[in-house]
Amino acid sequence: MNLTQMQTYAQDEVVDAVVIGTGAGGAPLLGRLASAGLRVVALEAGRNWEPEDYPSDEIAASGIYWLGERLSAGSTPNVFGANNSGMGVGGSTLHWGAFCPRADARDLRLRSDGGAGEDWPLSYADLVPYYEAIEAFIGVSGPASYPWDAKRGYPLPPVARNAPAELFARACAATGVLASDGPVAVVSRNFVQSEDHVRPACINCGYCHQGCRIGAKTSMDVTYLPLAVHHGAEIRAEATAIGFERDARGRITAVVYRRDGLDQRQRCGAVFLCAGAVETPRLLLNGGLANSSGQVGRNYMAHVATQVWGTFAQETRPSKGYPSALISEDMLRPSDADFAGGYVLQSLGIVPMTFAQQVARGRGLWGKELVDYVLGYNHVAGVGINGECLPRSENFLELADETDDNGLRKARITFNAGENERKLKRHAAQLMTTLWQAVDASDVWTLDRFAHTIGTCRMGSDGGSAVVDAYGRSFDIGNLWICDNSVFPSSLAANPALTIMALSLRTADAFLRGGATA
Amino acid sequence: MFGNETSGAMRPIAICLHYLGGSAREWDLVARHLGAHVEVVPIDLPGFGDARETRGYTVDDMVAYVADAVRARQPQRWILVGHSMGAKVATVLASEIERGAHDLPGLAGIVTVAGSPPSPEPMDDAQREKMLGWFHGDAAASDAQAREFVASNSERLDARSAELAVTDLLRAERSAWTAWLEHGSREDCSDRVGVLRTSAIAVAGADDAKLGPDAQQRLMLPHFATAQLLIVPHAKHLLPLECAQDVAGAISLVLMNDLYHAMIASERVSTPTREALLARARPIDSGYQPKSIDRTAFETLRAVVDRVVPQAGTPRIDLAARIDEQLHAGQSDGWRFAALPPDPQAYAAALATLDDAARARGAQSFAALEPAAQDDLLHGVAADASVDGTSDAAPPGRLNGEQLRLWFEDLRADAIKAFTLHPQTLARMGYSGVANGGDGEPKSGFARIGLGEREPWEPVAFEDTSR
Repeated sequence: MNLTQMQTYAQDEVVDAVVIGTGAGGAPLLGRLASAGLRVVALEAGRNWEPEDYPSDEIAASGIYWLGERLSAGSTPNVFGANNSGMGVGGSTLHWGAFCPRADARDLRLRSDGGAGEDWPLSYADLVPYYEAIEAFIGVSGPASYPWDAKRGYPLPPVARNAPAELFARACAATGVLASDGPVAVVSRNFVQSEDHVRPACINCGYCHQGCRIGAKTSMDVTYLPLAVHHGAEIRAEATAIGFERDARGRITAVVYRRDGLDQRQRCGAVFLCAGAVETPRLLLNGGLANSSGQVGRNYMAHVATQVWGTFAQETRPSKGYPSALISEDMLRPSDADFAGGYVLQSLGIVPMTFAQQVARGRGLWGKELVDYVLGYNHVAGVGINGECLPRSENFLELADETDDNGLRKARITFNAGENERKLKRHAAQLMTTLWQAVDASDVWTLDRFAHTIGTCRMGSDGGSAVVDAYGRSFDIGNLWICDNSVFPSSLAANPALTIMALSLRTADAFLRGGATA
Repeated sequence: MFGNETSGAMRPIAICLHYLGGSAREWDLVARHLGAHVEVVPIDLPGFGDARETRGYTVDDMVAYVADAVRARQPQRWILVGHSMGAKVATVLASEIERGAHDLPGLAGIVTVAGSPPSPEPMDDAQREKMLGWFHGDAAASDAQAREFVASNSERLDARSAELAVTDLLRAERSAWTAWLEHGSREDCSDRVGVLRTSAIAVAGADDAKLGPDAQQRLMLPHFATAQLLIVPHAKHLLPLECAQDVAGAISLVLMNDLYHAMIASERVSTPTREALLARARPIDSGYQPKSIDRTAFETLRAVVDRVVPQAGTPRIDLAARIDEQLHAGQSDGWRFAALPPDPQAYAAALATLDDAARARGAQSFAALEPAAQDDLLHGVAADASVDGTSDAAPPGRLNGEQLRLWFEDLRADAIKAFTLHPQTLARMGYSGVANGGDGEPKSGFARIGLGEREPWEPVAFEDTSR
């Protein structure tokens, strides 16, 4: 993004806030704080990109993925890298899939409703005004009338349906599942983002996960970050936060970061830690901060993200078009469920290396079978889910003995899919297999998969059992706020980014209302 | 291959040049395997086949003769296919075309088949003398000599092909035969040819004594910027007759690569995307020295990768070298199994463990096992049936069964990653996604994205067109 006219701040100037991370957690609040006239500096570990520079190549695009090594342990070790955290001005929104359903109201009170999981210290009604504002600001495409929420309509018409979406629509029609064009944060027609910026309509190029080259996909660098810079925020790229300086009372006085190989510090009145559910707790644990509850790093969650793939007689060419154009929310509370929570369904296109690696890892193919199947790529299509993952004590993030180039200990994440996840997965795999069989898919197979990093700094109403309060403020350190998917007390079935953005604005509002001086 | 270019005016032509003593007829089987999407135009070189009466046996004479034949047809898109002697003619002609010496547009590639290189052909003097003495005695002696030639230069010829080769040898003009042995094969055209830009595949019979894989690697490939070597197992020198299907496959692949590279060069592909693809298309030198693991481990890695991503019938992409480079670069992919040491150590330990397991089965190394035994061992690894039959603790520098299973998952992912995004594989897949809009605005993207829909210019999977 264009940072040439950006205002800058001296390192020894006590700015009102330093925001660590420029993704879905950091960017909206940066924009809101700057708009309110605050002096704010964002630190971003990755570089600044111009959209034109993204290669449509899964290897060459790896610069936008967080590639600092994480150790994956447990019975279902999580895949990181291209699958999760991002790097660069805009954070993981540079590579996110832009599928943005809202949280279901029931998912926020899972424990009250059924005894499993955890309640959120806020309700769906608290989030709705933020959801509406964000959907209008970032340009979400979708149906004018949303089948699962009579009050909801999306501001832009749906994105075009690709082959997997067409198959999904037919399969759902044949099996009595309600399907709809999905809520997608990709503009389906030219969209006026600001006075001097029109985002062009999606051209169906298919490389959302490698960085949108035209800015049709919502990423923070084409939405909230330009807003923030316009209002005087500074974005300091290639600056990796590595620690904090604190005063005698324990309040943070400066953020220490590494840039150009040197340790530097930015003095500040408050800190918003928005580095995601792995880097946020890792930074806190490395510094021994904000953990009187013992909850930092606990209750790590990853969505059940099972996929079913099939081969079709006609060509699908699954790289083309927006990858997950269709949705079904019919399974948020299946009537025959033997598990807590539910899942959203989506149609799936895919780019070739991601597909081939999933096949090699997840289907276990090798030899001629692997090669022949990969060469048949132009005929495959998928359907997938995003499903509830319960917070559990045996799933956690801790520090490994190994250190990274900055001297910080690496994160070691232990994840074991539990009984609830297994049951949910079984239900979904069965349904998705039925769907694909209904449209004459051959060679149908199920990929066990998990996605998104969630939990590790949960929000709650009690400082003894939560890291931050309902607005993201640390119980231990009055001028530390956390806003990213680490604060989620439970996973929700919905993909997390839209809800992270909503929390981000809500956190900013709380800070502006007076949290700053409390 | 591209869907709208498989027939009609754009049907590519393959100009095929035979070996010493052969004729246009040696391409009949290749033509049958290629089917309708390539027009095979075999040429009898001066002194051979139906051109027995034609004179002009020097390399330059033959080059001019072939150039005339191409000019007469005025093909829009064509490739040169040269077998043995014919390959030298093909490479020299291609170099002249690249220099602009002929007005022959549309050359899309070269396939050399057990090719005689631009430099003097490796041939020992005794063999040359022996062959110079052939075909001027009585008919029975000539017949025996022809049969000896065919038998010693082939490994799997059916009777009909052998008979065809013998008949061709016996009808060749003897002065053409001796001219090649005494002069043509000794001409050094290597400086003239230089390094060709034209894309090429060099086909070699694994058991060809003089013009096999090693000679192709040393003498032929250096003359091409992007040539790839296709080694055909259990074959010697008379490849169009011994393994016509493989030769036909190489012809199709060169045409396919040419079209795919034309797409990569087009304005539908962005500069950063094109750069990534072309860098990956560059062949890795056959003398590649491993950087992250030792030579022994690297040989084992090559053997394992050959089982995980077999590449029979296509020029081999050196996946093991690409994995080694990735390990050497030290670029993490963002995570690793906590049960495994860092990647280079995990690879070294895993490969040593596989060699141990091979030794326990009586072989010197994993690479020395028969393919079926290699597969059997790897199936055990994938199923975590401890390969050494022992328990959890692995000795230093080795992996236990669970670790080996996890490593094998990583290996599968690394190998298929290097394979999938190579332009040759993308071309075989008929992958159009890289051509999703070039530089500047507006970008073209895709309009036809529904089931069974395709833009007119999109490539089609190789296997779909040859089905």
